[in-house]
Amino acid sequence: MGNKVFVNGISSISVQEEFTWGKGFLEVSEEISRAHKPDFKKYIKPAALRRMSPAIKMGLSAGKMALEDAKLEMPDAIITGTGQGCKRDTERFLTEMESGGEVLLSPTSFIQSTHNTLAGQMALHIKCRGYNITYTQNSASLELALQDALMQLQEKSAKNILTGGVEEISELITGFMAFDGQLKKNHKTDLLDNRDLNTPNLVSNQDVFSKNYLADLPQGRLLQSKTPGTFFAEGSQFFVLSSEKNKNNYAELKDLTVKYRPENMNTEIQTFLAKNDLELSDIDTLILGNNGDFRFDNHYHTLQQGIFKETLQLGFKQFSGEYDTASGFAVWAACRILKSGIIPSEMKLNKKSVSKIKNILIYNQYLGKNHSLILLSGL
Amino acid sequence: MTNLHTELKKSIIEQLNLEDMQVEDIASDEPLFGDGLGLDSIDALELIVLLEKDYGIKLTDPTQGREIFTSVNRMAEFIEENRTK
Repeated sequence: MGNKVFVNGISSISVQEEFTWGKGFLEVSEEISRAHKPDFKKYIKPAALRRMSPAIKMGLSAGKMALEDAKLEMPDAIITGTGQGCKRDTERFLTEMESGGEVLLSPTSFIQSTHNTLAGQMALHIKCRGYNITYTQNSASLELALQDALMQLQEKSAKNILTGGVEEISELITGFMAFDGQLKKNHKTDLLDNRDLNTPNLVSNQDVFSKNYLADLPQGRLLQSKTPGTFFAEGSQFFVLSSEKNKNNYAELKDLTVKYRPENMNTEIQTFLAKNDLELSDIDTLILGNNGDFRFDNHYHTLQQGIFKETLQLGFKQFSGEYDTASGFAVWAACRILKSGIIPSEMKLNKKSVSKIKNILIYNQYLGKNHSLILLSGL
Repeated sequence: MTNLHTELKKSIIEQLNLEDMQVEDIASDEPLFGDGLGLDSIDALELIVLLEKDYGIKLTDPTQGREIFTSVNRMAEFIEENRTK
């Protein structure tokens, strides 16, 4: 184990409006939700702004917000993650190619359609000539970006790294998610059905959501869904990771791992914790990526009713929506919790309480493929 | 201002994403690059594509753009002389 790695700056652009931490999240209620946009002109010159798609605007602004938060002007490296990249520009130039008989191509949308556009734009804007890379591995994209940053800081290859993820929604490509059941259909009926507690629960582990549980938690309807698919959204979360903590620091990023289709997640978690000299009981809070897709939420339910039954459990995708780098929202929330000590009550998935939060474990998976564990500790 | 001038200004605003600008904000004799509208080299490429797509004019020599894209007036004049559609 090398240097410790601290989170010195954070930022988040999501479907949630700007708010005071702990004053309440609103649950996503549409199949596809756009992010609540900040005033981009505070971070990007209007002349440059006009050419940018939402992914670039959100990512660039979130990156600059994180740098501001950390009071850092120049990182040693920029590492981004995006599963689907700049979909709007991709969609635009493909549509133009099709309508123009594959003859003419708008240079702007073509240039900006690549996944590494954001990291490049970030480097240009802050004039950072350091290491610059983009990870694009579907739902593990942000995790791999964080892992690269973590390893570089632990091995003392850098002191400060700006790292984060971004995803945008687009009319066609996001809509395609409905074809293979990733996007919920007829969600209003679906959510209405969930209110009928007498309806037989089709989720394999039916015990998770009992009547009392629902009565105590009027929110979280998405997470009780009994149909395939989830609600998609867009967003960007960025972090300044450093080998030295500053006055603003939020947490220590201790470790993370990604497993592809693991056979036994219980074993994976215990091995991961043991590597960090921790036991299950050392985890005060577990943040889970339940997204209301009944086909895959059983991965979470197994842990909720199993090895983490006595641990405080929080959900985040009912507030962030699903996107490939949504785990950034969980990391951002964990940092907020560790620094403020305040846990938004609407995030709670069970009624456990904790007096002092020291260790937070984030577990996320999408379509049962990439399973990630991120461990953060308070300072 | 002719219909072509108005059409051109609309296309420029749309193609170059000139947010917050209206047709009347662009003077026909105003320089498009530099101190005028402040367009840059990527915009020049967009304008070359616009000429070909909308008016069937293919610029064989990209340096022609310097003279053609001086203002909306000059662009309209060039289009009238060379358009194939």
